[in-house]
Amino acid sequence: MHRFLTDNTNLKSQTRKSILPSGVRTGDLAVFFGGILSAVLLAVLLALGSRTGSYLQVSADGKLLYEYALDAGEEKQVYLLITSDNEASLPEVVCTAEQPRLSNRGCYNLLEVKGNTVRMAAASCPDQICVQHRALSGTMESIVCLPNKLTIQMISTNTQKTDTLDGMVH
Amino acid sequence: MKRLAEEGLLLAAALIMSYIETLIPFAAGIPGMKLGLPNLVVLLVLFWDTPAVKQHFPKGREAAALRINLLRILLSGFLYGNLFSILYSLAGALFSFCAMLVGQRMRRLSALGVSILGGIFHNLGQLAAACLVLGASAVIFYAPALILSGTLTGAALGVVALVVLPYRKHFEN
Repeated sequence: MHRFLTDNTNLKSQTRKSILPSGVRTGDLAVFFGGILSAVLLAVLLALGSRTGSYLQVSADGKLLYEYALDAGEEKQVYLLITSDNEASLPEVVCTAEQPRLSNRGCYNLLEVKGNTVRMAAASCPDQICVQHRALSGTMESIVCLPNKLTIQMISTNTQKTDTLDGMVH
Repeated sequence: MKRLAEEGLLLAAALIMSYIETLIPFAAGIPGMKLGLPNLVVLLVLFWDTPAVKQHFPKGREAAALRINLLRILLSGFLYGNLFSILYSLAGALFSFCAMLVGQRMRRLSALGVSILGGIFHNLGQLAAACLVLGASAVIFYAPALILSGTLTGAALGVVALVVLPYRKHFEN
């Protein structure tokens, strides 16, 4: 009986000696640092594989909609307006040198292309998360607009449907 | 009857958490990035393992936590989102709930570790749903940011859960 009691107090003092705040267990730290480490590792891998983008790809609903050749030396902005009238039809892409007016547009995303960077200048989506995203500059990043089911990303070599400023529509 | 009242109260608490979450801008350009405040209620139900609570939920707290979570997603989805945001939330919630159930059974994990697991897997679930809808090639680049935010928000909520859980004895009577 006596031994049992001393064993018990030993156990208590051991748990009190733990450097962790009360309630925290060792596995918690493993999960925490595991999560941070895997995120950093993935980010580094993506950054290492990233190259400057030469073509901009606009996809709607997971299907490639439009490809635009980027010109690193271009100083002026180019605007790509992606609009769709209803859910069923595929969005249309209009390329202009001046910022288009957005009133009376149904569902739209406006991309601003400047040299080798692209940013979402405006969008009709309610959350505006895609507009807050920083400008794209490399191949291993993308901007996603979930409500409009639109994704934009860059690639280093083109596949199809290339369009440059020559085919500009005003 | 008491179980119904208890679950209604917890559902209301989760719904208020959803509302508070819509007031706090957190996404910073990444869709699906959120604080995950309603998960605090799920976490507390999972870890509220006192005899009195066991009596209230005779079929297990896990089932109650899942019920509260699913109802909360439907209600907050229709209140603050749309059908598509419900789809993403459901994918995230189911991934996260499975991960938390596994984590809860690990003896080396407290509510903190389980909360972090929940946060990470919630974001991975949403990422998987987005991959199905939009194609993996563009969406996958969001993985590092989503894993990192899941870890940090999960840790924050886990710390809150560790602070709150000792007070469960006050609700025994």
